[in-house]
Amino acid sequence: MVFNSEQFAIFFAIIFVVYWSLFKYRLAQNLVLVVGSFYFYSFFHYSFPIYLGCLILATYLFGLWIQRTEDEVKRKILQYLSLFVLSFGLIYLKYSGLLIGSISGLSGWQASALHLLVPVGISFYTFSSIGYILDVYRGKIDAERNLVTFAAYLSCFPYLLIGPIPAARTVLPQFRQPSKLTLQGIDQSVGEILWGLFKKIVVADNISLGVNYCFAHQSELQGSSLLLGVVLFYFYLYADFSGYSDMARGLARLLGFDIARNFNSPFTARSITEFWRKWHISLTNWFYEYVFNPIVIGLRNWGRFSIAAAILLTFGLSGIWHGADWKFGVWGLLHSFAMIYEYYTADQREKFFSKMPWFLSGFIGIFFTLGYAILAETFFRADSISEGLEINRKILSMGLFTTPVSFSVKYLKWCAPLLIVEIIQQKGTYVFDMEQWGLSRFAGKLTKSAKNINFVTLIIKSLLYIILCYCIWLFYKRMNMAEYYYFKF
Amino acid sequence: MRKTVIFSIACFSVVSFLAACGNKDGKATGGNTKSEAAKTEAADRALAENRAKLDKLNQDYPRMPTDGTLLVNGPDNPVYQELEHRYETDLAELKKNVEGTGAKMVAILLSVHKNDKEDLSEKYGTPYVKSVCTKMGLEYFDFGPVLAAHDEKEIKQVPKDAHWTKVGAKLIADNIAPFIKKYASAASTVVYKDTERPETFGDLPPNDDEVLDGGKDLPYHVKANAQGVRMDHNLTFPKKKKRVLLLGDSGFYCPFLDNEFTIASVLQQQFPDYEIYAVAGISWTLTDFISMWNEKVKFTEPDIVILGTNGNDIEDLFFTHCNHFSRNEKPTYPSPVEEKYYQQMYRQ
Repeated sequence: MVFNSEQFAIFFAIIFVVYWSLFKYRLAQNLVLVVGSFYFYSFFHYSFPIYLGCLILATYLFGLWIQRTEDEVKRKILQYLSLFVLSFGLIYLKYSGLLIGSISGLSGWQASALHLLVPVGISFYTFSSIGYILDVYRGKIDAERNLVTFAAYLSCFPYLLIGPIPAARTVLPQFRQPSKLTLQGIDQSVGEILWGLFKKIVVADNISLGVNYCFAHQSELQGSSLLLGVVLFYFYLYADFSGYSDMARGLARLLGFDIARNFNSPFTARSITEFWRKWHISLTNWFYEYVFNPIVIGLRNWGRFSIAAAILLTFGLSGIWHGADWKFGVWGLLHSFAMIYEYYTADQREKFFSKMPWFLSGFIGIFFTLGYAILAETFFRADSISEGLEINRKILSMGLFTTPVSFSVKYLKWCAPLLIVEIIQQKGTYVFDMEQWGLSRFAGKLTKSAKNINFVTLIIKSLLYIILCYCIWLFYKRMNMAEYYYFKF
Repeated sequence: MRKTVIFSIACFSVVSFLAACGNKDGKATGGNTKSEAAKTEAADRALAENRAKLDKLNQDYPRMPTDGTLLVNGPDNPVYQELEHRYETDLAELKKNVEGTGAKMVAILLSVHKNDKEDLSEKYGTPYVKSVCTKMGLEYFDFGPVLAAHDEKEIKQVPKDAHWTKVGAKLIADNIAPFIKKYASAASTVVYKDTERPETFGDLPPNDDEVLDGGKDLPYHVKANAQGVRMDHNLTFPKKKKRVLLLGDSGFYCPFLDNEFTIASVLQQQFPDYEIYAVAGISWTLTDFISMWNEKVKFTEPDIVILGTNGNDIEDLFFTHCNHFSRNEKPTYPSPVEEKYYQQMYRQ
């Protein structure tokens, strides 16, 4: 059951009605969420909710245990023990195949492959639980005493499968407070859900055919066509993943929760460092807080090298977090190399760019950042490191100057609406924030009355929503629904 | 800033709308005269009526017997016998229509003999098809033994799909080539007027250029000319080269292969002095071949027509199969024998 299905629409409608009919009873609302989330998760496999339930219980008990323990040594031991227990399932289920394969490859030992069923979203909710434990250990939050409240926070279906990874400090308290549903909240949610659906159904699912073709025929295609393929893949991945995140945010808001934005127009990043402040923000924040900072603090005597070491380790780990394959490690390392370069050359680059007009420095920054991110992303989609290298070799050869496959424009056109809307709303707090779009000011030019301004804004917004609905409806039945790419992680 | 934003909204709206409309059923828009508009309107209305009838039939009769189901107790099943008769009648009609234009028609049997598993459609269907061809004086060639001599994984996209790989398509093309040489003197005697010809000769959207994968993760590039035929140039008139038409189902359409690797393209590379093209569709039956010939493809004035068929084409004439895959969306109603069989098999 995915967000863009009729089945989910019915499921959500039922949850929504039951949830808000209990608005006076916070605990009952949480219970509805827990039951709904476990039911939702069981659609993928009956055993997944069992694993999730065990993880929730373990995290809950460890949280309370750490909080009640006063002895610092015992607290530390408990922290390590809990991290081991919580991450064991993730490591065993997701990475044992990679480890055994690598060891057998290096040693020549003949090992039979493990065919383990990896629960969808395990990487995401395991990280949420680890973040919670670390926050409790560091005293940043109090351990949650109510199991139902805690289970509702960790299993909440809008972000259970592929995030955004909810920060316990900001999201967990919302499960304790009375929830509110405002007209403004509904409006924001509708915009986000529609835009998320548009990104998934109209953009991502359309582009995916072109991407699949280019990667399936990579041995026959020239550099220009492969460049088209990797550019399309970048936009496909963005539309697919950010579309889900937007829907998750909209759905959570309909249930009265505010979760942080996961993407913020990464196409406009002028450096890889900035790119990571705009791409998969919740994961970046998680790694920054629980991996990068502790490493920097631990290696503080190493001077500037501590930062470089922390970047290398953090992004190496982030790469492997994405998938049990060394190609993801290469992808992570490529990003870390770029960030280390940017860190060491920050002063020189600033001096160099300050002499240029702003638009030129901006263009150069965006061009190289986007180009680098796109070429690095090749390893994300290629079947192996060698295939990724071969694709990049072809792209960076004379084959780049040949005529690309004839369907280029057909698929590239889908990126246009995506780029336009995402760039406009990059400073907004939510999708279709009309202030951000300048529509209120435009309406103000047409009429002086505040009532009329609101009315004109409403009309324009409704028109936008109608266009979105029409496009979604048109493609909903026609397209091959591709699975969300991040379900693999 | 405000102007930029408003301009962007307009761009977004227009781009989204056009992108969406441009892809709707792949239909191209263009200017029409009044009479053409009226004709199109009438055709659209008839099509909509047929579609409604077809939808109703598909709702009422949703099930299709899989290959071999009708033959579980041998070929004496009255439904199968009725379908055999229908096959013979349809093939005779097609032959008559094709040969009426002076073109030479030959049949190619494209089924693969499987040694490990008994294929009832193959066992009973192929000999019947051969006997019918012999009876009506239609030259045929059974590619089964040739194909069976190769590893299935080499010539078919198994396990993902059972259609041809590049190797399979090349193998078939190489075996069709002698027929083209043999009938080099065949010539269509009919010349149609420009006003008689339809706008398209194939069922693909004109100028189609897209990637499809049939949900099997086997993406392939389909390009159609302005006449809706899967080839890289338009057919012009009067024709300057001899024309060879491959008429058949998915065996000739070659899903999961790019244009340049289809059987027709491989043959075209081997015979540059000919124009070779396939007009074929997934799950088409003899009924579809006839309608295709009469409505569109005869107007291309082919000199040689190579019909792709095989043993299971007989069962494909069962009314529910015809209704599910009908190319021109014309409803096929069950005969009393089919109705009785359907009631017994799926309603009890």
